[in-house]
Amino acid sequence: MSTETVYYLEQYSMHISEGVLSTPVLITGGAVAFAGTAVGLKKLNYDKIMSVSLLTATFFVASLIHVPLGPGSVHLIMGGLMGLLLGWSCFPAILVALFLQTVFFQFGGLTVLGVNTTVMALPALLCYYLFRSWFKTNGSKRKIAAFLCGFLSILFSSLLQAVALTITDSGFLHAAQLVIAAHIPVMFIEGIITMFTISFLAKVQPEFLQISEQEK
Amino acid sequence: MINKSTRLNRPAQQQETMKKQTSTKRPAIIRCSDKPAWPDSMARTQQGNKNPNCGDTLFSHGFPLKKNLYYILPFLLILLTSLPVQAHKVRIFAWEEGGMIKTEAKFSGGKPARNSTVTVTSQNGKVEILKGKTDEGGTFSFPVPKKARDNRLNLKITINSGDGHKNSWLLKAEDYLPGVKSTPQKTNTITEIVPEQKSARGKELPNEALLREIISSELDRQLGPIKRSLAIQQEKPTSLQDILGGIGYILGLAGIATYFQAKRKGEKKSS
Repeated sequence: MSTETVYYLEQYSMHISEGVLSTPVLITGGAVAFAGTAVGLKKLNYDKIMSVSLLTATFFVASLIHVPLGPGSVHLIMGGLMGLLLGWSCFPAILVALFLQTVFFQFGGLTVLGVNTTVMALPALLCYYLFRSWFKTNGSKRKIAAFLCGFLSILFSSLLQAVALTITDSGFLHAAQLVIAAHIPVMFIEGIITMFTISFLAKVQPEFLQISEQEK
Repeated sequence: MINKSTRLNRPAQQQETMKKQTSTKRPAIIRCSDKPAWPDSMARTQQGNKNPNCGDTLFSHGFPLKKNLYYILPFLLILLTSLPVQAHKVRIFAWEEGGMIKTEAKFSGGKPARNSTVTVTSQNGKVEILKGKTDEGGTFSFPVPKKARDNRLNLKITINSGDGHKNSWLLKAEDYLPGVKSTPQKTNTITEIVPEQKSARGKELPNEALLREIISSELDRQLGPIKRSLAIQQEKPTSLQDILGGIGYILGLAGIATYFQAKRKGEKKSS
């Protein structure tokens, strides 16, 4: 493992900073985030509001939880969990949480808010559609689906982030590859945490798992 | 049903009470005010015996407030045990020490930002003065550039760690050019006073310029670490207030959303 890889392993984060990306990338990300949020808000019904805001709060705080890993530490994202439980509503939830993280913790930035939202919410939504049917029945299939959701949401997020960096400047290509390499242990951690969270919820709060099913 | 709830390992006493409650005949309709004690409500929701009268509460999708709290609790615990918390971003600090400008770049959490590009520009970012890479300790230093000294530029020092993290530090001219800082009037008064002292003390004083240099280099040596820690302290760490504030905003937004949804629901009913 090269020293550079170790360096990226030490510092892993999904938040792209202000002034890194080019304008077309920023606009595209913003447009996708806007569309997703609009659909998510439309699908948000009265009964789901409290659940969505609970998960928004979870997401908002999760990035402050550092998991020690090898030489450095990583922070949780919970994208897969958001996608599984919220469906389309994960867009407004992630947007709000990221906005507050920008304002309170100076993570990311206001102009990159759209891109960061897209990078985290789009894979979450994809996982929701991929594993929705697996998720309905209780048992090992649901556990596997939960693990894969946590795992794949991070994989797709890091791919999207790498794409955003590479489109901006082809010099980032190497960095982008390293970003993906650095995410591999995080994928496993997220997968395991998502799996345990889901099986915990299935025991204590089975209704919670059905939120995304209440969509019209 | 009882099997399901015993999985939760509740104290034996509670389980007994639950058995009693489930064995006794229940009235057909339970009012909202009917003690939503944890085992009871659990049994109720698992039977799918939702109370039609409770439909218009915030938690109408089948679980009362108390159970929501059980859900939040683990997350609150994680939150509290993970303090002190730090944000994930790169930061750079710069200060002047003995004619050199020193910079130090760190990720939050204290890890040095190694092998990252540091760019020094004018304040508006238009004139690039120099570029360099941080070393293993995340530091990068350079002599005060002649261009900057001559034009008394405010320097914008930007760090880019290459993986999408970027930040900058503004080093003002008066902070790194102590000699230039003082206004012309002040230098006049100093030059006026110094000859007086010289004449009074006679030959005891060594060369004035030399003395000045010695004092300034000694001061630099001693003030360097202080300047560094002052620079680092300007960065505000994440506090518990920020976190709670953020959660408060989220709950506020939920309230607003509920208000509008309730309004819409009301309009539908009336129409």
